[in-house]
Amino acid sequence: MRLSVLVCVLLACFMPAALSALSGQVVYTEGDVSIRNGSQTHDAVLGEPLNPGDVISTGAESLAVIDLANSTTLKLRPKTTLAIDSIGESTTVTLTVGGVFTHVLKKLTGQFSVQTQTAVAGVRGTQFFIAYGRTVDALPDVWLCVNSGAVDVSLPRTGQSVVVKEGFGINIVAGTKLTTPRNYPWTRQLNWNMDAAAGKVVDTTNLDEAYSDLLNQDYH
Amino acid sequence: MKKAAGFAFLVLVSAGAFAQAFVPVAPKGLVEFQGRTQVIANIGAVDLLLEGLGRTEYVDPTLQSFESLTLGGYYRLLKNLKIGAFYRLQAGDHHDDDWTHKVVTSGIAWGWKDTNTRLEHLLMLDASPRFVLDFLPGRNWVFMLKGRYIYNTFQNEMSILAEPSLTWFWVQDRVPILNVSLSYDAYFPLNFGATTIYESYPYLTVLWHATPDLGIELSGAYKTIAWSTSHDPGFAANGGMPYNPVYFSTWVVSVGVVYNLSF
Repeated sequence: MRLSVLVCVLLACFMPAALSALSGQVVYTEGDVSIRNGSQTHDAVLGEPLNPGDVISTGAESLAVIDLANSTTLKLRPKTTLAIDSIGESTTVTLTVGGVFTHVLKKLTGQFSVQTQTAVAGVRGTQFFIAYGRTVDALPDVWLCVNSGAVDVSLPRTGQSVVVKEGFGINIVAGTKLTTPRNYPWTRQLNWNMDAAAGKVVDTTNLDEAYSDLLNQDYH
Repeated sequence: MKKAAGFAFLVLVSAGAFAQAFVPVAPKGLVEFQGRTQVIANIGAVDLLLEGLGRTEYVDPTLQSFESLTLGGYYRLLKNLKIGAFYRLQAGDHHDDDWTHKVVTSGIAWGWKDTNTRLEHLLMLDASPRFVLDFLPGRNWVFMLKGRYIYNTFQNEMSILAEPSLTWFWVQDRVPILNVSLSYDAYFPLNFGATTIYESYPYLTVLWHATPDLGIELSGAYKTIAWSTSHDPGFAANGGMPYNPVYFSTWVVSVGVVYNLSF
């Protein structure tokens, strides 16, 4: 009897931590943030657990910071939709709209990757940003830039891949072509902070600045 | 040597030559070299601009130099319209009245003043509507018509610059790699000279975007300046007579470095 009580107490103490380590949770929100699971959608609540199958969406002038498996922190920009595919040895999310900042702790033992319609960005221990750009051709562009570490970006359709290092970015043009990594001036404006206690979390970078404005060229 | 001379003079040695000697002599086939460095700092709708420029300059067969430092900025008033305001400090420029005389042992000499160290201050205001001409082959074409009012505090000279230009951008993977511009600058004097246009030049510019922040520019121009009768007091007093405008033409080859900073 005493033994079973002890087991129950131990389980009660350690199960939430164990579950948390294998799932995720909402750690910060601003504005309209919703979570959809199956056909049900509800407003996100701070501390709310997240599980595979959940789809998080942010509205205009909104943002959300989520933690996955205590090893990866994601900040969703306004008008972003992100699906959690798996959490655990292989943590995978799919970005369908908008942009997301990613901070993967070096203690991550498994793999983490962000998928878009056309590309996969796989990382271990890094901080990077990935977002949809303009749709100039059939499919939208996808911009990715790395703040620390390195990201292996691959295009399953074409078999192309490239490693993007710290300080560099790429454009996946129309989701079909990887550009050579380079230093893009517009990426210097990105707000990488995900900790509200440390300052402003919202990122207001205008992704249109990633595109050259031919009417804004003056040389003398 | 030219500074020590103070003047670049054509010395008259015969009375027969005197009748025409007060008319500036137009050089032919000369090439001037120009270099410039420009920094553009983009802050939202404002582009701050700082430019340093130097050029060898022929006003007669004697080589002189021109230097300028320009500071100002553009403000994007509308998507298709920018307005700008600039201050320029320059040295080495020549004006009609810089053609004058000097008494030398062999007679009267005519020539250009050495203006290498004479400072001039200019204020400039401009507007530059621009339009994408995406119906042209290659799509990435921009037509711009810059109109600039120029006030030079030296002799209170005022002029208007009209500068139509057509630029084609070679864009690869959404990023411009190269611009090729064909432009024509025409300066209309408002209160000096005897010609409608006192300076004009068509020019071709190629700008290579070496990095997102750095551009390397190569340009070629065919510059023509109309020199009208000098009103320097010593000119008429020493027998100088009104003359028809004299057109000086030179080739100008320019290289430039353009830094773009974004904040």
